[in-house]
Amino acid sequence: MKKILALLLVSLMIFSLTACGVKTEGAGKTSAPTSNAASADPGSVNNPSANANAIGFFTDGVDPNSRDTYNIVFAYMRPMALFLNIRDALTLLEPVFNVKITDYCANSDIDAMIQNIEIYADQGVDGFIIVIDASANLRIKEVLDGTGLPYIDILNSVRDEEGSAIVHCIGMEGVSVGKEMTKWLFDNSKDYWGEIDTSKLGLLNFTFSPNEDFQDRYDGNLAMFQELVPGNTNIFEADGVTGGLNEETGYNLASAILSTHPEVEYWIIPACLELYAQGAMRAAETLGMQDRVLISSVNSEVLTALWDTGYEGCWVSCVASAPFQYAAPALSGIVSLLNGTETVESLWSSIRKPTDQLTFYEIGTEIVTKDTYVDYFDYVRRESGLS
Amino acid sequence: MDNAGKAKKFFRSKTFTLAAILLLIVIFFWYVSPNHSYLSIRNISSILNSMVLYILFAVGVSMPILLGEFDLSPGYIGTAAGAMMAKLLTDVGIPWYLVIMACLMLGIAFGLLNAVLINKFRIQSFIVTLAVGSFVARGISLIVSGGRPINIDDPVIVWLGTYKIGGIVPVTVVISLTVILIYGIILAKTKFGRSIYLSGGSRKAARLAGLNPERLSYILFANSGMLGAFAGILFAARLKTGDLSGTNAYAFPAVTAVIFGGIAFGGGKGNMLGCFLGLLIINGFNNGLTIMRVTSYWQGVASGVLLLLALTLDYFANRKPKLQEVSKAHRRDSQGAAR
Repeated sequence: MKKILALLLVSLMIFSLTACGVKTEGAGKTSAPTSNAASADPGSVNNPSANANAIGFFTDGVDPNSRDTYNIVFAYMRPMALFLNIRDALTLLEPVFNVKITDYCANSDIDAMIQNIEIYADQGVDGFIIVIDASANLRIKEVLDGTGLPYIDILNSVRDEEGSAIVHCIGMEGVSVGKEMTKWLFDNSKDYWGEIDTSKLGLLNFTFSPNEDFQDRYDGNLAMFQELVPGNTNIFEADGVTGGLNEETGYNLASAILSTHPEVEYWIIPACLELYAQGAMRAAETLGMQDRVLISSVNSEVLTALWDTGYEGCWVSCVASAPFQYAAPALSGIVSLLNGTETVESLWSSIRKPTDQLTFYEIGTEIVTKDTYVDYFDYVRRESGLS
Repeated sequence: MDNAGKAKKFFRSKTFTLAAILLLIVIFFWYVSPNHSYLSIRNISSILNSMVLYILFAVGVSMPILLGEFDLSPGYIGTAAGAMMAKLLTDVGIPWYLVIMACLMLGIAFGLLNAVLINKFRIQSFIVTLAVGSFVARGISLIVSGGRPINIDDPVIVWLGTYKIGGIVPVTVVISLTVILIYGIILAKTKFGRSIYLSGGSRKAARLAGLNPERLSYILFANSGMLGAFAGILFAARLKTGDLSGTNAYAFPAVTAVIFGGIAFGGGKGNMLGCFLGLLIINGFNNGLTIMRVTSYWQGVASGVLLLLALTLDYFANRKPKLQEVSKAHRRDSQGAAR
């Protein structure tokens, strides 16, 4: 009897899951945006991506409601705040583009991601927006190519041996972001510390060496620091490879370095990853050094959430990455590929570097502080196609 | 035992419970999947493909568990083997067959290290294997790879990892099914297999029967390490890269599936069929949820609930006969006392 009861419970659970998985028909039936489509000149129809606005949103002249809803999978490796916010932005843009987004997180299992790409393709999805993990990027590209479906990569560029981009990717150019971040910290340090002896200034430079984009940010930080403070040798590398992509690794590395170099009075910490910045912030606070440390980071999910709750510590700025900056161009691009108004070769060809085979779409980078972030994110949201 | 008795025993067995759950899942997902594609050849192949690494890890870790020991290191050993394979193939240029042998030897060495620490130093297997895996093997992965993924382009290894027979069935699926079949036969039909059960059930009894449980422990840990390394080789071959995180996270779900499949935590009980069915249920269930576009976060919760339900079901199935036996014995004793 109990066995039958338990079997019944299993069935009930499966049926309840069906309810979770049921597609919401008609979700994509609201009207399409008009902001930039209206401004596109007739000649742009052949290459609509050339008319993208400042954050990458464009329409291709095809009425989204005149066709079936496209099923797009958003796939990413791990549940990080940035990915989840991009997912939310993509979902908010569903009615604008008449698409249905399926959310897939591989929970750090690359093999499972590859399996599921094939499963989704077999089940008839129309395309992928995907964060291609750097650790097996060529294999993931190969599997995606094997599906024959269009896809757009987010964040991590995929390049061949010559460094040429071989996948359409929306991301930040690592070296210039690193330079920008370090320069900002140096220039603004006067506002926090006044005039200081730069020989007592140190750079704690985070990287995660398996990831080329993170390493580029590290290189950019280093180059700019050496340019701004020539001859200064207080340069300390903190490679997260010994731990992982998490806050704890940032804390462990930062606390070890900060606590063992009394010769350095002031520290600037440009972090390639927000979670490392968060760990460094905690380390500085634990060591009572928050008045002598300035931190900036790439991406803004964690820090803006802190600012929302009134945070005013040594993590003073970040390179803004509004999720719509990734979501809007990714959806614009993939929909135009599915509509046939762009081809893989023509998409974003006007902004492609001559050395690249496909386009690395560089999102606009803006360093924001607690005083400027709200306005900036409002602006991005307005420009993303949401009315 | 007559046929009715055999049938009754089968219906109370773990295998029947697992088969019933599997059947229910298959029928449900077949019914709800678009065009009944859940049971298409391609999707069945996908399910089996998702089981490949778990099968190898599950077979590996189930052996020490049958002996009453625990091995958490194979996931890390797999990562080290994958990184080493990539390094030797790409940077050193050693032929693929020597590289595979070297990686398997690395796995065996880790297994023997576990066994020495457990048997000679009397440290608990749980602690030893976690330490050897998460520190020693992981450290070796970092040292070998230099902290960066190494691409693999050896045609044989790439073929091994990515070729699909008839364009549908991956070679790795055939390999993993063959492995579990062979180990299933060894466990069920050979003297060596029976000696594992006996030693796992009672080491004292095994010694009295002339067996050497310590020697068995060396063999089974070495075997677990070797299968972990083999899984790491296949993982790296499938991704065409030696990756730092590799198979680190695979061993624990494999242990879960092994327990789910009926291999007793204390040793001495269980078989490879149950292990296979356990893996098939978990992976088939996840595949069905993916087809239904249930987000992966809910998939984790749903798998956990399924696991708990199955274990509850198994508890009740096994509890009833025992209670009946106890009450029968009690009645017999009471009647004897009355006479």
